Amino acid sequence: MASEKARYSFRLVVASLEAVEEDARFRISTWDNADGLASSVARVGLLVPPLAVAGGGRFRLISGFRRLAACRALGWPKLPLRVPEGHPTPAECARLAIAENAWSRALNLIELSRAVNLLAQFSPAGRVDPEEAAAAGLPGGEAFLVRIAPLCRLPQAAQEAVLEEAVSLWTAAELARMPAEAAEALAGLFRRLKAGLNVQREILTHTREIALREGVPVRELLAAPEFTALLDEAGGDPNETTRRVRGFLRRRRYPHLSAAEERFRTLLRELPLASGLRVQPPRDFEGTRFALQLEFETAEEARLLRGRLDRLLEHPAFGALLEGKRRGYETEPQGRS
Amino acid sequence: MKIEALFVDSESAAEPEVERISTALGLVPRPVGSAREVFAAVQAAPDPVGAGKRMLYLTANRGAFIRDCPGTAHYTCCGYRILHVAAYCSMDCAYCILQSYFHPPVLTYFLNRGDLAAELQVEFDKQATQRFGTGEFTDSLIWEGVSPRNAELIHLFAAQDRCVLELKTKTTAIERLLPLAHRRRTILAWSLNRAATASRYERGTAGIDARLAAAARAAARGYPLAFHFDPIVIEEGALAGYLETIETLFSRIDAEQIVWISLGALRFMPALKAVIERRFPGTPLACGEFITGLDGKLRYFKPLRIRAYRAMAQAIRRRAPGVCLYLCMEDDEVWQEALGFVPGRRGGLAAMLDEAAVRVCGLAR
Ligand code: SF4
Repeated sequence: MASEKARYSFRLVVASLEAVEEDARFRISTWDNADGLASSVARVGLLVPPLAVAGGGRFRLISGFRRLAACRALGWPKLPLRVPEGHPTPAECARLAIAENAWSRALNLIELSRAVNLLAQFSPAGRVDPEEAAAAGLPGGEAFLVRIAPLCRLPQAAQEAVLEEAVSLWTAAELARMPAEAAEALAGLFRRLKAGLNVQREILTHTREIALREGVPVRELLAAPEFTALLDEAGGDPNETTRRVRGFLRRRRYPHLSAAEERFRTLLRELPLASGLRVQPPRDFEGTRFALQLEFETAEEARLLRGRLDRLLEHPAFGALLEGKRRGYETEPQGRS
Repeated sequence: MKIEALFVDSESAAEPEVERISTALGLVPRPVGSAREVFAAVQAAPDPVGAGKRMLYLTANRGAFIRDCPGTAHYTCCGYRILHVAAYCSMDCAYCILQSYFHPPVLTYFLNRGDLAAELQVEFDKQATQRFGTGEFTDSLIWEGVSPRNAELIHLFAAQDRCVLELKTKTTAIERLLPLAHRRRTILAWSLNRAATASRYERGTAGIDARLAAAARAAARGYPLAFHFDPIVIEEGALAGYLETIETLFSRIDAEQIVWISLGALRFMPALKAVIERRFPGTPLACGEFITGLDGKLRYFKPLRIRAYRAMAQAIRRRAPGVCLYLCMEDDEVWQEALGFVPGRRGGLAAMLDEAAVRVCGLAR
């Protein structure tokens, strides 16, 4: 496609607004509001006439929906249109609409997604050829096109989160794989948190896995009183809210590990751990070796630490710290398995 | 799963087994110059992992037939020796590590049985106790009815007194093996699970009841048996189901016939998680309380593993105090907590298993 000779020539017509109808299939822009554009058109006129196909004395608009809305808002009886010669097929109309949008400005992710779906809709294989997409002005390779394709089918709240850049592309693509209600609930949470990609990834993965394991829909999980309460308690501070949400989800996703960590910290607090002395458990309590770290600058400090170390090793909580690991620091073996 | 395409390496096309297998499967073998052609066919499918289960590639094993079990330094390995007679599996367990082990995974069956026999003879000549098994890269019995390989192996092992062969399966395909003169040198082993876990995550396998019924038939023909509770899937309320399976096992099988029983909690390389999520959407299998083990695999939080093992071990020991019970790929801390001893105190796990094989299978010392 990319190497094909350009086949369209256009004529300029001035059409009555009543003779123009919108073909919404070709709408790409996510901007509905034409107020700003209307005042610009009022001042400097319509610099680029919208694109429409002619037929039966009427015109079907395929690109320039906001410009049309601006003209309507200004009460113009007529407007100029660019009309391709001949009878372009729907696939050709799609290509024209996409190219006009893509070459005139940077499309946002939802617009890109709409464009990809538009191309796919009229492609014989039902999927987009990356070369054709590039010729129409769309960026990215096949993997990118596949990733963004479902975004325009996200529920409205999630699309808004994408447009506000409250969710990353990765997150948006994951939301698109979830039931609409779950995507909506998570998008709402991300709009509130304004977290980076890694945190979004963690929250989304934990939420999805908790929901799956417990057989609770995501929406229900995020609407549970214990969850909404922690959002309220954070008092609107996004960082504090994020911290609480992450803590809550981690505890729920890894209940036994989190409880063991908490009990370990309690034991640690019982120990006479002066500054310069640190006890480190094996990662996730899996290995068997603890680490003891001494930090000092002078020989005098080191001698001082030696005394503290002796007291530490004699303390009953130190033995409990080593012995309790295999039980996750529970006094009696219990829990579910 | 039904085999839909049969490929044969052109260099092996004249092997007599090719015709036997193609007749049994009702498929005309398609000769290929190299494995790459088969891999390309598998890769072209929307789900290559699933497609590889429907395409069989007959070829020669150009590497070693006998390999050591790939244990790691941090967890105790059983020292079992792998007989690499075939690869991949036509059944479809959600947790199967083979889904991400081969790239791409494709059912492969090795035709050069002469080389296999020669390699085994070298091992037999060592006159040392050794345990071999074919169930590491495949299920041992999926080609029963299509190939006589297991019968040949059983005969080879029956002709010596130092080594045992373990055929491990989730099928009930033992019909042709029952009348063979095995001389107790072949152990028929079944992977067991709680019934709900098996029906949820072990697609295309025989049910637990059917496996135990097959085991009982094998026992009646004098075969030594083994059972592997592996993988144990730790989920809410699952333990009761495992204890139930243990009860059923001992209500049907005489403990004296059992060479060993292993326990192993679900563990897998992180790459498998994405495969599970893609191929088994909606399954909570990968949503357990996993941490990253010292070998890089995802494993359940250690106290959870210990609890499950301890409860199952107690139930097994109540019914079969003398049976050799072991943990698959766990460290001394877990052994001590779950079973009350560490293998090192009994000469090591390999020695424990050798001893069990000698005792139950009547191997020469
Ligand atoms: S039976 Fe074994 S080899 Fe076959 S799919 Fe299941 S786990 Fe994998």
